[in-house]
Amino acid sequence: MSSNAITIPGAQIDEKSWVDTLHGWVTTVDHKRLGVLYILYALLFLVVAGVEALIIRIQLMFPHNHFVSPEVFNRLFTMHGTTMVFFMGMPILFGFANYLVPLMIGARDMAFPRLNAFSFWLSALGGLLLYFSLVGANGLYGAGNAPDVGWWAYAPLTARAFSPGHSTDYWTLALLVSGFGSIGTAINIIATILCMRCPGMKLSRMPLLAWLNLVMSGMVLISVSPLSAAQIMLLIDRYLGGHFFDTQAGGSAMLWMHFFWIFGHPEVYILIIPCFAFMSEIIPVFSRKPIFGYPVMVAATVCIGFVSMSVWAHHMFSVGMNSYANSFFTITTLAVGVPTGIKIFNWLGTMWGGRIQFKVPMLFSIGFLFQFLIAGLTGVMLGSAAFASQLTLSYFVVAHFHYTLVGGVVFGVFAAIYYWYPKITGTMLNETLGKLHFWLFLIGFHLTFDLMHIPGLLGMPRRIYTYEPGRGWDTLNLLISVGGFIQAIAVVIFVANLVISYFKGKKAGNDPWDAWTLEWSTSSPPPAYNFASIPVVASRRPLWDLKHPEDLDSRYE
Amino acid sequence: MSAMANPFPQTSATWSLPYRGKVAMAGLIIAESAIFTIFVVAYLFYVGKSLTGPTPREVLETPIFYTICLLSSSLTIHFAAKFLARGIAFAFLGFWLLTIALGGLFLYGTARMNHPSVTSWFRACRLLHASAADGT
Amino acid sequence: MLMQRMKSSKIHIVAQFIFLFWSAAAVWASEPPNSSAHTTNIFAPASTPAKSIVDLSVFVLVITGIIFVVVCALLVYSIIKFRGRAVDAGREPAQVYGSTQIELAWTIIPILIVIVLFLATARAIHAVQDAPEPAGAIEVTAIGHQYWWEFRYPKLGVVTANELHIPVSDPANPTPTFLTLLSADTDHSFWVPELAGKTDLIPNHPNRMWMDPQRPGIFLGQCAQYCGTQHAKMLLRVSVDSPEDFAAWVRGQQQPAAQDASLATGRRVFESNACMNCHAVAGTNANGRFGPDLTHLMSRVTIASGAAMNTPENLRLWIQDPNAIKPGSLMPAMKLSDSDLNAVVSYMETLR
Repeated sequence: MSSNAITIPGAQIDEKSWVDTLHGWVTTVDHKRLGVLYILYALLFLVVAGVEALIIRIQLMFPHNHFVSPEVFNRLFTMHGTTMVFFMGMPILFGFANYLVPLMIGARDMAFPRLNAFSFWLSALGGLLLYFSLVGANGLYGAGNAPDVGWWAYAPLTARAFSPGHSTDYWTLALLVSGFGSIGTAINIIATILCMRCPGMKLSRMPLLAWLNLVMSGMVLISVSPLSAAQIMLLIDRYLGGHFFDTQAGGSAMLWMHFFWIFGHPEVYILIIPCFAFMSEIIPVFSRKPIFGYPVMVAATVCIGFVSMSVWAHHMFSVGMNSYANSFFTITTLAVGVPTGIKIFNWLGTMWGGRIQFKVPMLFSIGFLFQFLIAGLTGVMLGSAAFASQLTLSYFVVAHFHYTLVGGVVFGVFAAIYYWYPKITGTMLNETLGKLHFWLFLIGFHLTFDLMHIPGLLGMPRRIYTYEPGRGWDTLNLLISVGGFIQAIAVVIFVANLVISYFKGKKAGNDPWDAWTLEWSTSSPPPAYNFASIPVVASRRPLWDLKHPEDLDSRYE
Repeated sequence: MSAMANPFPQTSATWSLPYRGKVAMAGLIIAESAIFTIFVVAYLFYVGKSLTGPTPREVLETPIFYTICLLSSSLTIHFAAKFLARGIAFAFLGFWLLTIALGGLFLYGTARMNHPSVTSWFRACRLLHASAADGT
Repeated sequence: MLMQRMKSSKIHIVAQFIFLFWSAAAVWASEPPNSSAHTTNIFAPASTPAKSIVDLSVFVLVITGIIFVVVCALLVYSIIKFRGRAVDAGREPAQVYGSTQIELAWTIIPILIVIVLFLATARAIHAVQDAPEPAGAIEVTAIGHQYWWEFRYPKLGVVTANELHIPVSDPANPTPTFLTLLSADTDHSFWVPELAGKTDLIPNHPNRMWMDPQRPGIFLGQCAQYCGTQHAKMLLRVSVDSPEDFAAWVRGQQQPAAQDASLATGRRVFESNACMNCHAVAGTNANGRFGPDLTHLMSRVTIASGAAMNTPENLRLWIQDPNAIKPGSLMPAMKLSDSDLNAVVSYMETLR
């Protein structure tokens, strides 16, 4: 991986033992290594949560199926959701931020390298804690084991009366711990971006990835804390005689919902904004044009950051808020679609008039655009409170959020991996395997999640371990499950590609994609110190300026 | 890479950015404010709604003296840091010890004020735990 | 050049495949349900709230459909028209940084669309949520339990479970049903798609909803808010009756339990085991509120909130071991002897 020493010709260099290598990785404070640790950690949990999803889909292939018991099913969907959001989505995006932000802004490391390491290990502990519940949560039969309260853990289902044993506590503590890790990383990213940019890199010259991670980190600061607060109150309810959410004693189930979704909605924007960042870096390079409308892209993202703080109760359209509240949250939810739509148009504008190269990162990006458009439109349907009273809590909304999370986040992450793997490892990922991965995953994704909208429209609620035959849901569920397996095969091919290419891939060189941001000026992989001397930039695309001195970007900005 | 000349254009302008410690502390304060805002919202939501009591009025008193201690300790540590930066050891030591004393006073006062609530709280916990251990 | 042409023909082949696949899926998905089965299709509304939602949804679908077609067309066009050709290798296209007019246009148009959608939605929200209650409305209190529904008609003195009977509502002389939604334990959600949007049953937070079905029939639904192990089997069955049928049903439900001397044994088993602690049978000593009211058990088509049909065999199996039908149900297996079990089932069979 990255070299930690300057090669002195003729010097004796001892071979590092595997213990030393492991020690190096465990004690690292280098943002690149921590970035890789985050990403590998997340990919592991992607596979784990993916297997959970496959088991769910096998159970739902046929009505009245008995593949797993209702108790196990309920634990599976809880763990699948919790793992994917907190131990796949957040870590992989923090991992890319960690790796790329210092390189892109011309810094040697993050602002606080030790805080960086601490935050990673906290988040890692959180994931292990959640899965330790499988063995550690003792209790009576049916009361221990993995949490089974859904990833939102609505009250009063989480009260001791309804969730005896410790499974809910593992959920609470795992997320509390990893939440603190997230806040640490967010502080680090903000400090790095604001305080460690190389000379000449004014905020208006920063790559969009840095801007979007800045906005995302600001949102993490404000929105993860409400979840931590609510979880502390839940622990007080469960162990110290509190009644915050204990309805039997005058507490409020609605209060938990508000607190959770004040976290939960910005959280999904926290998950998607870094993927917007990937798109904003990848699409220009493979269209051979700069991003269309850089200032508006920044403004739109900041706008999304603010407006998304005001939409949370669209997750609560069925709980019986009055018509004024429902109308308010409708207008804010529809409003947040405007800056989001603007971004889609700007990416289209970037491709327009370009010379598009259909390398694998671009294939995934085009998939992202198509799918995020659809997801945004089903989001408009769900944002309209009256329509939502039919659609919410059904498979329609499950289809919608998988469209954003798989069709958006996962596709975005795949694009990012194919794009930056050469920089991180020094070798290219195999293009043929990559295309196979893309097409298989695309077909499986659409088979599953396009069809999934229909049972929702036909009245199938979510979180049910089985369903009644004869309502028109049967064949659809079978096909949806088949699509899941196709996606699984694609992911196996992807993992194989990652491993094979690491050992046998084509050498990448500094700049395999002919790109324009600072990370492509370093070697692949970059040395531990990133840059021999801190760069000085005069435009948004410093490498374009170097490669095209006759047509400097700095003349047009 | 290390042997390459710097390929980037030179600039002579001064380049100053905020101090990272300040930015990080601001971030931390924002996060802390967010978490405490939620606690305050929960408090305001439930104020006056207790079915059994005790009410805040019965249990808590406004700790004016101890609040002054806490807030002035912020001032004294600020001066202590200033003197440390300037290297005036005696003044630094004085203000530093004053800070510790004020902080200690505050902690003592808070503990004294909360002692009855905390002990009855732990008593309730023990009772809860005992009944729960019976086999919930 | 050839590579590019092959690539675009590959795209065409894939596009054709996708189109064929979707047509097949659409045909499959629209298979007409078994005529004796009931649908839960939100686009087959039978009541005013559901109908207002469908009207709004068509409007929203048309607008979002147009947006989708336009943006998709632009995306497909740009992929095809602006694909890099081998002949262009080494040359970069014109580096365009943005365009104020275009960006203004695609900011203003979405804002206008949002305003229009909001106004349409606000109208529908208000129509459904703030509808006044006419004099002839039927009042029902629905109480959600893990994992069954309790229905009380306070003005009619009727208590039943899981299967709701309501009258058809004639628009000229409306007799809608207004439900007050409460919960005895965790969160639930009342969702009968063809009659109304769903509304949750939140403990400590009473909710109101209404429906005015305009044709008689059976309408199915189920709990839509995850409430625990058997959330999936908390089914709803709404029987919309003609006014005469509804009145007859109410009269039947208002009677106390049928008393049949020959079933004294069964009744004794029922009352001496813990059954009466949870269940109520009007006119007897049994007045438990934790489980469904059994006074008119035989008037229901299903048992265990729709988990099984109401047949003697199922009833026997349910009483013997509820976990055989609904694992995780809160009704304990009473471990009755065979003779006790037979007696109790015979007794249940008389509760019409």
